[in-house]
Parts: sequence; structure tokens; C-alpha cells
Amino acid sequence: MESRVFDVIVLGAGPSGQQAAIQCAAAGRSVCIVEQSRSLGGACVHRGTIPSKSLRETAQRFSALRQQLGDALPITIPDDMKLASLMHRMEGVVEAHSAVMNDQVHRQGITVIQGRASFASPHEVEVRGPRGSVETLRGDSVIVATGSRPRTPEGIPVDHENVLDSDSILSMNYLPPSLTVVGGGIVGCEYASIFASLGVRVTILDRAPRPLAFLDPELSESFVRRFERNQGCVHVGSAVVTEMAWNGLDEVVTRLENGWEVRSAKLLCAAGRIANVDHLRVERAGLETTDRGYLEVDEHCRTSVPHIYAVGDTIGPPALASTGMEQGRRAARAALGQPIGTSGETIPVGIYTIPEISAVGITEAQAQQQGGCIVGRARFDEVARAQITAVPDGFLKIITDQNGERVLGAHCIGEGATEIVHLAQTAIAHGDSIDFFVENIFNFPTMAEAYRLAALDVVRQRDAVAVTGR
Amino acid sequence: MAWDPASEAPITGVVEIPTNADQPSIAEFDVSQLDLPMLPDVAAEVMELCQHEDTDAARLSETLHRDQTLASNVLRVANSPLYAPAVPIASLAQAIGRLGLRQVADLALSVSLRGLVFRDSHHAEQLRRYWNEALAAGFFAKEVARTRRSNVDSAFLCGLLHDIGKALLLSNLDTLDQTVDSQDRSELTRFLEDYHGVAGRALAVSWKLPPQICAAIAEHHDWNQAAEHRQLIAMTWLADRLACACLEDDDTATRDQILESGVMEELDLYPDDLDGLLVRTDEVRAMVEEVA
Repeated sequence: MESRVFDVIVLGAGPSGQQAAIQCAAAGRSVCIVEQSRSLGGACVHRGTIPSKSLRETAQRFSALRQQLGDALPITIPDDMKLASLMHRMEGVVEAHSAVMNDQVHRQGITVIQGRASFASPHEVEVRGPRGSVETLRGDSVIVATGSRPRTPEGIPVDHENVLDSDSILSMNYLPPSLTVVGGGIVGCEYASIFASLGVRVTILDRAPRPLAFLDPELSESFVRRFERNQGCVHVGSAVVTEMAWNGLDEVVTRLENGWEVRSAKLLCAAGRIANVDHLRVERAGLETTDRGYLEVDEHCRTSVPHIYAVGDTIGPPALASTGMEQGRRAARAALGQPIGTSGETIPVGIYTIPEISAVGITEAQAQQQGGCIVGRARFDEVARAQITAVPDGFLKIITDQNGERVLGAHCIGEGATEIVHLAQTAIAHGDSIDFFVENIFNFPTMAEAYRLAALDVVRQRDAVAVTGR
Repeated sequence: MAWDPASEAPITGVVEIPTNADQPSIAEFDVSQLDLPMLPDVAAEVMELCQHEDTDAARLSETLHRDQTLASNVLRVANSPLYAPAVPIASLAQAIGRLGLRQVADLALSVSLRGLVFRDSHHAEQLRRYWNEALAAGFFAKEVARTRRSNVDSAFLCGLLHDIGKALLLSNLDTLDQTVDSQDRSELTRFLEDYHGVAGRALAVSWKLPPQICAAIAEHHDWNQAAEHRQLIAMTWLADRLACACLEDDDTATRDQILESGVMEELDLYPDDLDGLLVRTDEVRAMVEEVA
């Protein structure tokens, strides 16, 4: 049977693959997406971002309600509350999102094939269907966007029953009374704080001394303080797991190098993700993976084989849906022979813990290394909107250059952080001065007011330096 | 009232359900005429312990002790070649320690359900077959969930209970208003196929099982029409097919049927995943023989 030929074959229908496919199709190219799942969207839509944020929404509302009502009306979740009930809108949200994606893809005339793909040669992709069919596609360009899956470290027996990963954690029937989370990265901290807010006693076991170690230390320290305010919740840093097993009775027992033993009803292994590249037979395309299993690419997401591109989680960190989409766009433009354009140097990080965390630009430590900085802070309890919505925990920290002028970075923890960070992103991208946030008027009351307060803090310090010369 | 398998409300009256294609007329079935057995206290408590993670071995052992038939069956299975204990297991506490709390709870539930619903001297052979299928489907449902990297919590119960309506209807045959000639095999089979979903769901709701389990019991034969809990319902159908393949020793035909059904696409499974499940048929047969 003759191979079907396409201008562009995209492997994977997650955020980055979709973006690439739509870009190419919009430019009039024939495009085929090969996706192993029946539904478009990837892990982001079906196992990760959307489902977890649905649960987070409920958890955050419980948390806010408890703060608002205090002891006047204790808010507790019944022991037999079904987890699915707490995500009752999730199916609807996923369906709505899927419908939009399907519509976009089909409107662009993109061919979608459900199957598992692997390279047969640099220009050929073999697709095995769910019913056992085998088809070979030929593409002028191939964009690898196959995403990633939870990593199962050696010694951690993930059975999706008592020891779970981020793929299976949300299909539990009931909330467990206790949960150990192995991993202090984004996924681990998000789930830890979500379940903690729902009344689960959560222990985070983190190899690093502090969680979310890539963030400004003030943010991760603030996260730990907030997390440990939940009853029975604790973060254990510098924790090296030596043994872990379901005890056959009623608990997962985790032993640490320091002799400690942690017991919980369930355990979530959130120890990173591995790229879904191992089944692609990339060697048949003339490619190699790195030691960590990623594909290496240049700034245009092009691999060492000129017509093959790789995007999203397949090329490693930051492995965010937002960056993946931009990479998909870049790869598509490069495959089309079109200019890439300027973009995406200032990428915010959004972490959907409770409370939210977000950051853009450089940290205070990085700014000091580059020659110094002035840091302005605003506590959320100084912001009227935060008081009104009863979520006064949090702060915004703005980094400016040593003259207290140009905005270099912003770091924020608190509800709304992932939204308001975009103000700083814009300021950084445009090279704006901190004075923008003082001289311009924002709606009142809004969380954006935090920028004015932080900016005024910078101006005060700047003026003090001007007066004293120090 | 019209049959709405997605509804979580108990069905108390006459239900109109469409029968299969060669009988296009809507049939009526009055579920209120069913004698829905109350879950015995012990079984109910075991199921609750199954559902709640806040459980412990001592509590389960104490619960099981209250039903000697149940306890002795659990011990019998724990001592069977299937679990191959090095030392004979003489007490429930030992059984729990050896097999694990979840395993013992599953066993206890299976045994008590069998005594409750799957025991009727008039239809012993048929009920025995349904029971074996139930056990096998329970096992396969868990493994399908695991293959899909999905939590196995609900899967076992969905598999175990998916056709419980058939056993319930057989047990109630003599008291139903419907005239069903139990000697006419094809008429009886059609009756059971048509109504076991609604009957099983009525029982599941009366036992206050989670809605997704009730839905799986009601809709697994028409999984592709399910509006909610679609993937769990599809998994239940697949588990049912795998159980039949196992017990009828007909892997090839079942494999082809499953591949053609569309369920693989629905569950994002592929032939090698299916083969990985089918290869466990000997293990499942051995388990069924021991527990049954």
C-alpha cells in the first residue's frame, strides 16, 4: 500500500503539537497529527493541567471559605466525600476544551490518526493503530511533540492502587486520610497543597533542602510556611528515600536515609517526568537522545536532522504548556521557511499550588550577580482586594536594576499571582521603568495594586540612595 | 418512567427500556417487584472498609469474625495453592498479614456476594457460571485500569458486579409478574440480557454504591452510548469480554471481537496491551477455581 504523503507530520496532539499543526495548516500545508489517544490535548488536558486545576478550584474555595468563616462555621469535608464529586465540573471542562481543539483542528483540514508512531526512516513514520493496523506515512517535515509521562524511579513500586503517580492520583474514589508526596517540584507541590487544603494530612519528601528550588527562596519558604499551616502537613527537605513499600495491610511505609519512617494511606510519586521518545525509534531517523532521554534542538527547535523538529516536553525543561506552545509555533515557522519573529524570551512560570506562585525574569540573587538591584515588596494584606476576597496571604516582589529603574523580574505568591505576573512580563519585555506602575492608574480594588505598592517601595529606596549617596 | 441509566436516583417503579434490535418495542419492567437482598451487616461493613482508606487489619479481622461462613471461606482461599503460603494460615489475622488487607477485603466481599445473590438451587449451574465470570471480570478490570495508569479503586467492584442483575433476576424469576418460561433457554437468555442492567443498577443503588459503579453495572453493554463515566464503563465491558475469553478458553475470537469493537480506541489501548492482559488467563482461571 502506498504511503500517504503530507507536508508536515506532527507526532502528538498536546499543546505544542496542536500549535505546530495549526500553524502549518493555516499556511496551506497538508498536515497530519498522529496521536496515541482518542482525544486531542495530551496529558495536559486529560491527566494533568485541566483535571488538577478543576480539583484545585474546589480546594481553593474550601480554603478561602474556611478563612472567611473562621470558627463561626467550621468547614470540613466528609470522610466519605467522593473525589469525583470535588471535580464535578471536570468532565464538562475537559469536554468543552476538547471540543474547541477538535473544531480548530478540523477547520484547518488537519488529518488526525489515532495510533502509536515510530520512525521507519528520516522521512517515514510508521503508525500502529489500536486495532493492529500498520500504516506508513511520509512527511517532508516531521515535528516530534509526543510529550512526557511520569517517571517511576527505581525502588518506588507505582501500582496505581496504593502508590500512585500524577496519571492515577485523580482517579481515586475517596480522599485518603493521609498522603506522602515524593518530590518537591511543581507537580508534587501542587498536589500536596491541593490535598492539604482538602483536609488530607500530607507529607512532602523532597531531596532538595527546599521545594521548588528553582524559584526565589522567599517564594518557596513562603510556600512551606503556608503549606505547614494545614493540620498534619509537613515538608521534609533533604530527604533521601531508601525504601518504600505498601505494608500489605493499610499503609505505605517510606523509610529515609536519616532513619525516619513516614506512614500514609497513599503515596504520590512526583519525581519528574520522562520524555515519550523512547518508543519513537529515533535512530532510524538518524537522531540520538541525550543522557536524560531528550532530543536536542537549536533555537528554532530543529534537531540535527534538518527537517525533523522537536518541541514541548521532548526537549526537556521548562516543559510547560505555555513554552511548548511557543516552541510549536517556532518549529512550524521554521518548517515553513518563515521568519520566526521575536518572542518568548520573557516566559513566566505559573505554579498552581494553594496559594498560586508565579515568577518572570531574573531573581534577586541573579540581579545581584549582574551588578546589583533594588527590590520592592508589597504584602497582599496591604492590598484592599486581597482583604475583600479574604485571601490576604502572599506578596509581590519586584526586582529592578541597581538604579531602581528598569524592571528585571517579578516574583509573586498568593491568589491571582499567575494573572498579575503578566504585568511584569510586559514591563520586562518592553524595557519599562518601574515608574510606570506609579504613574499609571489601575482599577481599584484589584490585585494589580500590589504593583503600585511594590513600585513605591522601589522609589522610596531609590530616593533614599539619591539623598544619602548610598 | 423512561430508562435513564445515568440517573443516580433509585428506581422504584415501572421502567421502560428499549430492548434489543430485533424486538423494537419498548418493554416494561417493574423493578419494585424485585426482592433486593439487603447487604448483610458484615458484607456491608467489609465493603465500607474496602471503600475507606481509614481502615486497619484489626478492624477487618473483627468484622470478618462475626460471620463464620465468611471467615472460613477467606481462610480456605488464603491456604489455597493460589497463594501458596509456606506455613498454614490458621487465623484471620494471619490471613490479613499474608494476603494484605485489600486482598482479604476483596475476597470477603466476593464470598459474601456469592452467598447473597448467586445461590439458588433452581439455577445453580447458571449462577455458578455467572459467579465465575464475575470473579474473572473483577480481576481483569483491575488490570485494565492498571494498564491504563488509572486508579484501580472502582475497577474491581465494577468488574465483580457488572452482571449481578442476571443473578438477581434468576433468583426472583418465580415471583416476577413477567411470564418467562425458564425452560425456554432463548427466552430466558433474552429476558436476562434485556433487564439485567436495570435490575443490577437497582441493587447497586440500594446498596449505596458510588454512582460510577452503578453506571457501569447499568450501561456496560452499551458503553459507547454512555454520557458520563464513559471510560470506566468501557473498561467494565472490556473486563467482561476478557473474563469470557478466559473462562471459555477462546482468546482468539475474543481478541478479534475486542479489536473490532472500538473499545481500544476509547481506552487508548493497543494490541500489545490487550495481549498483555490475555496472557494472564491461566492465572485468572486458577484464581477463579480457588475462590469459587
